[in-house]
Amino acid sequence: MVFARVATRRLGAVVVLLLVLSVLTYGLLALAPGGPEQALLGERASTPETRAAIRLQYHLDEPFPVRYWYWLSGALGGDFGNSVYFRQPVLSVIGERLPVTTTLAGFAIVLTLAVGIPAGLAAGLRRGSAIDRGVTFGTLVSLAFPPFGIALILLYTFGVALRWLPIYGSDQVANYVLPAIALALGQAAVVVRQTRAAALDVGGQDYVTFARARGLSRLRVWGSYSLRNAALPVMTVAGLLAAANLTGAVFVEQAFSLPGLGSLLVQAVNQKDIPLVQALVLLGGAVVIAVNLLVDLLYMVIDPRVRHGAAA
Amino acid sequence: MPPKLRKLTAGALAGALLLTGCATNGGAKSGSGGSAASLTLVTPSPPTVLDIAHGFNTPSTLVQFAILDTPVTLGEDGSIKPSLAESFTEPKPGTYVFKLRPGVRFSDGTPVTAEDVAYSLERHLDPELASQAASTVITVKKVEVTAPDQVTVELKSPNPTFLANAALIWQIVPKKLAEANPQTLGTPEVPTLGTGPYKVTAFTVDGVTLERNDQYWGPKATLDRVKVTAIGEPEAMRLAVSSGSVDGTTLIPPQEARKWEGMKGVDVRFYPGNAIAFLSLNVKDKYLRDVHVRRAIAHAVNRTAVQQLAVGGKAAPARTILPQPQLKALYGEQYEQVVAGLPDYPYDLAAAKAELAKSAYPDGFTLTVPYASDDKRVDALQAVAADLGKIGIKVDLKPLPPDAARAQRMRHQDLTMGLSELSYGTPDPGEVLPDLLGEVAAQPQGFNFAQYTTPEMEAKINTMLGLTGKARQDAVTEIITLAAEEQPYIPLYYAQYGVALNEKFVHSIGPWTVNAIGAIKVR
Amino acid sequence: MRAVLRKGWGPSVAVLALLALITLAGPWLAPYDPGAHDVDLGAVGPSAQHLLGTDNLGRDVLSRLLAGTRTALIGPVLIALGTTLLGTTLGLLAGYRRGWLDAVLMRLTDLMFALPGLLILIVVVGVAGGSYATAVLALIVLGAPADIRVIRSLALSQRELAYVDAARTLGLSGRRIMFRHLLPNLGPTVTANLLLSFVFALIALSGLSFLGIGLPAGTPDWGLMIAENRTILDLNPWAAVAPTLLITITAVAATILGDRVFERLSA
Repeated sequence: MVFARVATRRLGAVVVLLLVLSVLTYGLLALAPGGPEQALLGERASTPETRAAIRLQYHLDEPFPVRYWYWLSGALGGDFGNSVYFRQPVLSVIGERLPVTTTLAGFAIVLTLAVGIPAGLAAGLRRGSAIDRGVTFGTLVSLAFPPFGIALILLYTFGVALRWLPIYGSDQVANYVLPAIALALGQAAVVVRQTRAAALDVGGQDYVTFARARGLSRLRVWGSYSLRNAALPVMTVAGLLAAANLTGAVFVEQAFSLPGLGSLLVQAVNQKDIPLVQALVLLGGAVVIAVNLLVDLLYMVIDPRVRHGAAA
Repeated sequence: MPPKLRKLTAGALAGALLLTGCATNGGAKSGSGGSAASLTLVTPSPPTVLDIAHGFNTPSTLVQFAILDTPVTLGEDGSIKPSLAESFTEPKPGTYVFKLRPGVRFSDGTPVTAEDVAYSLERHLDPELASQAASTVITVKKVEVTAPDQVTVELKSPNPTFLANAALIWQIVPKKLAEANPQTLGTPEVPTLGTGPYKVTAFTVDGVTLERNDQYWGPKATLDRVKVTAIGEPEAMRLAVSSGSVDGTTLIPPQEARKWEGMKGVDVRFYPGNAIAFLSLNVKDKYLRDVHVRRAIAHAVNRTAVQQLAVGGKAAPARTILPQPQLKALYGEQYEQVVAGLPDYPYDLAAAKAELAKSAYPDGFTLTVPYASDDKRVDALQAVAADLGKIGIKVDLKPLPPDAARAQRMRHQDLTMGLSELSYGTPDPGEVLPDLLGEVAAQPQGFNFAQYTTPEMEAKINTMLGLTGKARQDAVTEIITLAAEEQPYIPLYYAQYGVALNEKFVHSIGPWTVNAIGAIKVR
Repeated sequence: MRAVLRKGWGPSVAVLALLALITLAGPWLAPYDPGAHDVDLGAVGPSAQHLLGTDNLGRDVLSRLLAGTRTALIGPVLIALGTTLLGTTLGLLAGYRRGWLDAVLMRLTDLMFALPGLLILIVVVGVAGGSYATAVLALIVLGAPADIRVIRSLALSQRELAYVDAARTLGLSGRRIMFRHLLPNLGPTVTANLLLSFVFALIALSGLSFLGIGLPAGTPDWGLMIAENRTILDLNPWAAVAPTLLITITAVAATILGDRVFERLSA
């Protein structure tokens, strides 16, 4: 089983990676000025006894390696500690917000692919045409626009001026339309460029010329040959984007007041909520790694050359 | 109420984000529940913990006071009134006896015992609990059940603010529940249990949902259901209220106040807060120790501009460090004459330059002023910096991560100049003056950010605390006159707090309102 | 040449040249002192005195935009140069020398690719004092791995070509071959990388400013201006819209230029 072998080989690397990531994050937070103490005390006068109790409870006076060990031994047993600010297990804080982020990410990636692939193919299919130039310029602009700027424009146009869509809230599908568009715009541009380049590349290959010469219709050639072969790079990009959506939709979540993982991270960093930041960073790392692995495995399914290469 | 640094920001989320426009379509989601007996309130940051021991912040206390009772509460004029206690007496100074109301039950039907009541105060004394309210009960010596319906509290020394503090932090919770969940009471895992007019039915990432508590001992709440939810972006919050997708807020973001007026179908009102905003000048600082420098700064700052930028003009100019409601409570209507008699430093660049010329640094100097990167009053701080630039004092604003900035300030580390706003819950000046000018508060974790403390001032304050009537008035006048001469604090403004409510509702929220949700009714 | 012009070469160069000029001369071009404030004149729309109106503190928006060009562009330029220098040098070494260095670098870039970038950026910059210098350094480190990979793969293919063999036979030193012979052949890619890094950094830094991370309040800077002026969108929208447009135009110009340089040089 090629898949199984690749997967197990990777697993070791994954464990090392996550460990490194956790040490780095923990160290950074532990060394930084400030600390969770203030979040625990609130913004008011406090008594020395209270402060001493907090320092003891959260092991704030122990050396860094000891504190890290407390965290790690807990984490290995599945206990990622309690959020300092929310006073709940980190996992349930994250669990509550996860659906918001996954809904947004899923919605955005579907939009990205649904718009990006056809637009990229259309551009690649007629290189140099008006469509190509228009699409290419469109991607340039949407890539260059600051992400919060897009959110701003969407909110003002559809939320305030036209009042078509609800923008505040997170409990109905309609709440996710604008955030998903804001998120997908820049990403669709990446997919368009990738698809277009892949299509151009594949279009120049002998087998396409050959198929065309055999009299197969242009559509058929593109549909059954080119798309399939252009799929690899496009899929890679799509996977990376999906991972990015799951970990880094910070601006969009903030802009639309969505209680997702991105806005949670900003809040946790500001409160020095170490267990929460730690878990979020690890989750982010795990998602990126998992997506990368998934893409690699899919490569083998789609492109036999890779499979043989890997087996060899 | 113990003073707190008013957090004008949307909690940790502040400072982040963009945008000003998120509204829901008013038509698509008509009102937040259809029926008028249901109310949705929005807060700038979410309620975190429904227990004052760990959730002593405005959005959380807003919810706490709707579900939890205190033995005593504040009347509309700030006076202490019995609540869950039927009556209370002070047999000797510093000892209070509370007689409990009979037949009161928690919302699950369990009767309230004197043990529950005593424990609810006692728990804040336990360092293990690390209660955020601990410093307010520091003078409590003993809490005892002295009869099945009677609790006696003995203080270490008489304290004029104990009852007012008790009205806020002595929230009655079941002893058994609180003992079993010391750290998690009031979180979504263990939503608390109270005797108040409402009870919690849901506590999720979307907010807190309350329903009428039919076990309530007092007049039944008029609203069936109340939802409290957060919108971090101030403009989104405003649009949500103006479009009717939420019913209102009791916490209009001060910087945005000007945008809130004139909304159709929404009643917007401002009331004077029991608060004071000031610039603190650390008198131990190399430059600021010179009284002429401090007076020069007082002359150089354009307070009207600062007020405009910090609270959108929704404020009254302040000339002394006591909040307006406290001045009124102490001196009556003649308080204005007292204030007018204090040394004053009107906005006047020529006078500022003249004062600076008298100091040891006539050519000015550079001052580094740290601030939290999410501080919404940073515009006002910039205006102060530019004002001081005009008389040769260069101000370098230094952004710090929010938690680090606050921790550093409470540790009194690198204190120079700072813009703060303190808000109080009691009409008595017995908290503000020791807080700003006292020796204890000059220690780390105190609010004396100017580090101004002298044996003379300390003696004056201690004497004042024991006085009453006219003698007290005179003692306070002496203290605030000295403070005005020395200018460790430059009083800036008295902020007003804003409430916006859909016209379907009416409210009677004022400076002394404890239970704001309870003060809202269907029109 | 005309075909090139049509593809945006001319306008891009013009835009970037103009910005470079403003970066150097901005403070002298500004009609007002960008820090001069007058709250009574705050948040007013465009007028003859203030072409783009004023911000909340009554400062002239146009002057702040001009003065802000320096802060807005210097960071991204530094990041682009830093990323490209680091990426190209390490990529060349890895690709040409191979061996342990290559192995170590590849594992390192693997690690970096597995990191959630934006997350790390917020944690690093938000926690470590939020200074601008930290943000610049963090963006260089986060941007380098992609450059290393690209340059390495090109160097790998180039080292097998005849001219490199010839140079080796002539007894030229490895360093000389890498930097005198290989590097010029990678020119188009390096230039394209440089401009891409610039665009990436421009947008990333403005985003951080937006989150309140980095520059002190009051510094004239495009990203910070958007953040500060969004509260007065109803009174003077230009105060926030103008810097947004400037960021977009700059980024588009740099991207087009990158594409064209790559096409021309590699043609």
